[in-house]
Amino acid sequence: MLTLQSYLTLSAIIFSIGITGIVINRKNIIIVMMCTELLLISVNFNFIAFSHFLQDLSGQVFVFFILTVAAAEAAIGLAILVALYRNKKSISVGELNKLRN
Amino acid sequence: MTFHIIGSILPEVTIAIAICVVILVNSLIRSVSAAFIHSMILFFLSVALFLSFVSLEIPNSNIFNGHYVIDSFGTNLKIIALIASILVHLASLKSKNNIKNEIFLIQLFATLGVLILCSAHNLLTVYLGLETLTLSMYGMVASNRNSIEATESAMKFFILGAIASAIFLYGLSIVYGVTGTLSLELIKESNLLDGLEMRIAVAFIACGVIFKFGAFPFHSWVPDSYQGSNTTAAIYISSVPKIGAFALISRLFLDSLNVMSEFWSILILSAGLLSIIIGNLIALMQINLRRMLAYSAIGHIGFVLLSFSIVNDGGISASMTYLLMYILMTISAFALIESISSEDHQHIELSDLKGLNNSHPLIAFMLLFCMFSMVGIPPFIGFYAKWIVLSELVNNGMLWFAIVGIIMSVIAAYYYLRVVWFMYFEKTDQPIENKGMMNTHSITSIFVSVMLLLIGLYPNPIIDYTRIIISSFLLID
Repeated sequence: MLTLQSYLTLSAIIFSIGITGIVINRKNIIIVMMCTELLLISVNFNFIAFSHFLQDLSGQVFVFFILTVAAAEAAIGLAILVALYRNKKSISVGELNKLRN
Repeated sequence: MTFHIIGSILPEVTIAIAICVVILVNSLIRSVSAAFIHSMILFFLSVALFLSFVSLEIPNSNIFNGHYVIDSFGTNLKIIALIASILVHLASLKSKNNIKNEIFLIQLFATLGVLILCSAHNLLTVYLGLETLTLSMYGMVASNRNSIEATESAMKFFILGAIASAIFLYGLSIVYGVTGTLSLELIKESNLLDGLEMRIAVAFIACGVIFKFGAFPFHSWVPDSYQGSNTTAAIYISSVPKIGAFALISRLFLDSLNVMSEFWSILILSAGLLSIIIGNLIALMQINLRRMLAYSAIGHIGFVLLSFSIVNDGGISASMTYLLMYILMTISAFALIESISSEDHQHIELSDLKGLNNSHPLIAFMLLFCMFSMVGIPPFIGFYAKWIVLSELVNNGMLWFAIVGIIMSVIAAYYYLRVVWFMYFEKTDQPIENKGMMNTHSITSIFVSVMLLLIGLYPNPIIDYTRIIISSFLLID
């Protein structure tokens, strides 16, 4: 029998993987975007687990909205990425260094 | 019943209709002139402003099953946000043909997001309003899509924003798990305890709020996006979204999580104090004018947060007063920078200001007003803003924070007055070329700059206004 605690632990692990991936990744912006999706997925996991154990539907409704917003966010992010690639011919995180003093 | 509900959200409905109309006109009519689009947007914004004045009469009510609340606090913030959007729109009407219409459309979306945030009374509505605002801000920063700087700053802003909103959401999910409800009203009524899990949730939510304000630990998007984007976007993201962030912090922390106020006031206090220190110190080293203004904005927001963390009537109304005066100052500063920059010369550096007094005496004089106001020299409004915040800090026994604030304001005077020095006392061989002076843009920028002095001479209406709004908001509790 799975308890609420195990769901929350899994979601916290996914969240940490997402944050770690963003922090240590130096090569590719697409990997950063995958990591932000991981963060949102861990939040969804939290909401669904709470919703199940509280017997309350509103958490699951929230998840649908998060999914929709995440899709819009990914679309905007990829559009910015395409514009960036056209200008710089590179999608490496390390080369985002034009704006410095 | 349905009519009554629609009647309470008429400002939002007007903005939504404006968005649809602008999209249709822009895509269906080929040869539509930019001036027509601008006047249409201004018309809809003014109608929304008028309707929010009308809806001040509506008694406090919860609509959409408590997802949305109509109260005088929210409606007054909407009025402020709409006035700020109108000023921003007028101030960015400089080059009629070159700026694409899309950016004004995106600004309408962002304004809609701010209006939703002002009235949201459920975690779901709060999240949706916040994301409407944030997603449009990404688009605004990236709108100059052929420039390397703009796309790079948009990418950095996007990554940071995605992380911040995910952390914010994680906090919301913990609040939901602990209280079992998404409604802010029920969260307030539930018997919360100041436990570890709620502390984690509040800290996570604070990350999202601080990111929206652009304060210290999450400030790095501010200078990049102010410098990289064009001035039209910079005027907007430096002014209107801060009102949405203020609504967010008041509704979430002040209203529904008031039980935790001892904990979150420490978080907000440290973020505010560090932003004042870091923002002003880094601004000393900047040579790009917009990047310097971005770091000074971080410092100003620090004062707003520092005063908010007092958590009483006087402190929060001082915080709101500072916010309003900061918004006037930032609109004036960016509008004046816009008037001396051109399409191929977007990155104004401090040395470009040399001899501005000889080539453009009026702009130089107005920029002098603006810089004096940001330093806090009486009788400009910046003085009253700082004075109110500092006197509230002293009255509430936070003398040391007030002293840090004063020291940092003195240090800040160096880089503001350096701008004045360059304009008045340095000579140059290549003055900035003259532009047509009498258009909507320059009239607005001069109007706002003169307001800095006029409101500074007679600041009581704004101070009384914020005091009334905040005390009515705190009385509802």
